[in-house]
Amino acid sequence: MFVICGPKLSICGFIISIWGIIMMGLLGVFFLIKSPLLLEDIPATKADFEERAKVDAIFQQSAYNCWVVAGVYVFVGLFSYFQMRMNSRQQYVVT
Amino acid sequence: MGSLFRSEEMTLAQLFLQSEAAYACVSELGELGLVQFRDLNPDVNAFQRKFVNEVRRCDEMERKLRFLEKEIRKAGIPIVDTGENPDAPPPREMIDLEATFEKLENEMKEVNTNQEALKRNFLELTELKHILRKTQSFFEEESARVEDTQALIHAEHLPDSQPLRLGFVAGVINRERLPTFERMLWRACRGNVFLRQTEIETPLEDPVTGDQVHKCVFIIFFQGDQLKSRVKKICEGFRATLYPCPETPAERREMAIGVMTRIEDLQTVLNQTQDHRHRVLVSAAKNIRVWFIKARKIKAIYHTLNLFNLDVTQKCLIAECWCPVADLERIQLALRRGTEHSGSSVPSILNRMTTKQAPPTYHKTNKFTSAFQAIVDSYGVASYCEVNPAPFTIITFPFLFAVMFGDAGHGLIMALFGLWMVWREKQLMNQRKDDGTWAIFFGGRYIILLMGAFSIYTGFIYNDFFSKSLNIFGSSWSMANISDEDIEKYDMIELDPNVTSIYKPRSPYPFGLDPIWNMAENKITFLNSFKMKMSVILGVLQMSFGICLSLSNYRFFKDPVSSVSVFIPQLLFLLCIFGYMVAIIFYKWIAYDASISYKAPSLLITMINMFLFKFPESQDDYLYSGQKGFQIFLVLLAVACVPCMLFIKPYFAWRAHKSGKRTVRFGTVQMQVNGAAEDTAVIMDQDEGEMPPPPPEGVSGHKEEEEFDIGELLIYQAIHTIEFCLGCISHTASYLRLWALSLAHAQLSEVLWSMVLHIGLGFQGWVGAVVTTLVFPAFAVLTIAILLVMEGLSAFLHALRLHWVEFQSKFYKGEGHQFVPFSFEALMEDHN
Repeated sequence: MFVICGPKLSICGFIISIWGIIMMGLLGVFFLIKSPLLLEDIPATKADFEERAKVDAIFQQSAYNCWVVAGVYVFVGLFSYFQMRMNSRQQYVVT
Repeated sequence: MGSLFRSEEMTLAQLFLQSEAAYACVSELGELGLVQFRDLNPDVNAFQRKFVNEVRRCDEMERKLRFLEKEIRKAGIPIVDTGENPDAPPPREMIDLEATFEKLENEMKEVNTNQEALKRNFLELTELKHILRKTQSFFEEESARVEDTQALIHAEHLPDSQPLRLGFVAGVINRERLPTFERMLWRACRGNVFLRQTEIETPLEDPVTGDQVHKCVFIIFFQGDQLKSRVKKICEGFRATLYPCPETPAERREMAIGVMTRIEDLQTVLNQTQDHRHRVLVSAAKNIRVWFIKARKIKAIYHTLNLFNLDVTQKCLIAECWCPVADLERIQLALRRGTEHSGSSVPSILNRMTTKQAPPTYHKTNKFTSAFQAIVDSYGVASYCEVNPAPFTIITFPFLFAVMFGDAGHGLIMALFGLWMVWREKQLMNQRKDDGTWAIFFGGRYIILLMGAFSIYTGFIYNDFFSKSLNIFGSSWSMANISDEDIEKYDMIELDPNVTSIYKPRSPYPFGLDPIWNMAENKITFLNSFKMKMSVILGVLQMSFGICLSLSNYRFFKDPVSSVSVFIPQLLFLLCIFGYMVAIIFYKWIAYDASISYKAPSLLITMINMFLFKFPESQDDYLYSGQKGFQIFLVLLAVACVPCMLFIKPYFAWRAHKSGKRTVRFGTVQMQVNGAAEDTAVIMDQDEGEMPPPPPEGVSGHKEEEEFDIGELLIYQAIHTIEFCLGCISHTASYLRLWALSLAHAQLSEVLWSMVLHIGLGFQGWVGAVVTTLVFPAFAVLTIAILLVMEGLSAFLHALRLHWVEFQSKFYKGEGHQFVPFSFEALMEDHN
């Protein structure tokens, strides 16, 4: 197995992944319960606001988006963690 | 008095040490790290002190050790740090150590010189080998050319046709010098020499520096002796090494074979030398840490011994040191241990002395409190036995930071960072000691942890998580009864809290700011009022607390005049004006609700009118009945405090001076008036209250008293009064930075969300997921860089300033000096 990222990049990637998973996961939940504070963050035009159902659908789509992102970051996190292991092992071998 | 509130009680002690036992006793005291020695020979040159020879020997030992360390590092051998802490060896062992180091150094030097000579030899042989190889082709060409030229000359029938024998020299030169060399040859010999050169592919190792240099082989053909000498001189100038190269190919081949054998032999010898050197260094590397520690300890002990005085009988050494009273037992024990170790029969004596000098300030801190104490000490070390602001700073500093930082999401990240550092304390302490920035962050890990924790709390109060609010308890505002036409018609709807359907009366959001404010257009207007008032309240509270601490100081130093004439007027002045302002802030919050809020008088106008003695006509503009009379009373009281602050204390001082007894203190403990010889070596308790009776031949003392200058006292007092009064106003306004920074932080956070993360969330369909994946790391990095690091440092700095200037100016003098004990631990840390 080989090292692609250096030690610092892999640690950064790992931390950002953890943060991304938690934050995007929670954000997804908040989109799902249609929090009014996130009203400005959904990709809806003025015309969309006429129908309640349409806005609900957009909220749901945003929620799914957030969870997809969280899922992607799970993989990024695993990859970064794996790289961290490779890097620390390489350190032992050299010394 | 052993707490963080005031300095430990310190005493000046005199140590009488037997000459034989002195070394061991100082060693024990160094391990203990509780005494600070005074220099009893201040006017003696460093070279005239008693133990200068020993110090010189220690310096020599350290130099040898440094040389060894450098060699070990150059060879790439890891120096193992077992963490063991050997005791300082007795003086007789020093000779053994010196011998060992001397032997090692000589061995290393010998090995190095030999290696150098061998390498030089090797280099020469290698160059010769290359020459022999490369010049083969040159000679073949040359023989062809010689035949050509010979043919030409014969054709011309020169009268003195000597056989044209071209002489040559062969050598090696640095690649960089070659072009200049060629040009020089051409010019000097007027083009009558012929140079051929090729490069040596592998770089050769320079024996002295160990660098790899590229060299070229050259061969110069010339005719005649003059040219030969000229060529040789030029070669010398360019530091090209010339080698004797045989002319016939057969000889060259023989030489080449000989050179190869010699090279092989030399290589074997070099390898063996290298191995031997490596072995010596490895064995040295095992012990070098321990040796360093021992050498440094010995040197430290001898430096300390140099500070001592030799007794008249020349039999014992006298030392003077500052030590904490509470630890006298431990010091006695250490002295006893030292005397036992040295095998001396006479015990060492510790005598307490009284002195007029200000003792050093010593606060006993642990790893948690030391960071906060360091913050306070950066401004100024507390005067001896003054109130130490550090225990209060532990709570107020992170709190004020959090008021300015105020975001629970960022606070969480900061708290987690602090937590990680605290959890992995031991590991991180052993790991990285070199990086300066990291050392600062790691040293303040407890501060960071507390700041983060408090920020989570204030984040909940401001209801701010990465600039979004959380609706945990259910908002108290409701849009349920707003008609649909109104929503369609207007862009912005005004929610009137008076209407019951919109805002349920007397049921506010239980904890923190109502989440609906996050969506309101007038959020900032509302929050401004709230945050400004809160800042002023916190400011006045902290300043009054500071003034109360000054009372604690006056009572400790037994200064009743100050307690009455300074503390009470100061407190009254602050409370009458700004305490009253805080009171009416609270009153206005409580007494006015949504129905009559339009009638509420402005607090700022009220305060201004209070001082202008301007009172409104209509009853509505009064906050409460009897306001007029009360305010007039407060203003008169505050104004009356000012002459109290100006005149009472100088008056008492003048009166006391007239009656001959000095009970008034100005400033802190008086600096030493008499010489060291006058300190009485009597065992008595250190009493800060009454001055000891003036010495019998106290002509100098009386002179001081007669020069009592009432004018100077009045000016001093006037400056302090003006400083205090104006300071009250400016410091109260200064606390408004709590509002300003929290506003800035909230706005930055909002901008970051709406400009960065919003882009990702704003795409329709599944594209949004892709974009968000790319945008999120940018959001994360910018949050950490701008909001955590930049804003964090900014809030840290401002909270620090609030403490140092606004809080501490009310009671803190900070004119002390730090207690720096003689400790081996501190010494080793310094060197690392």
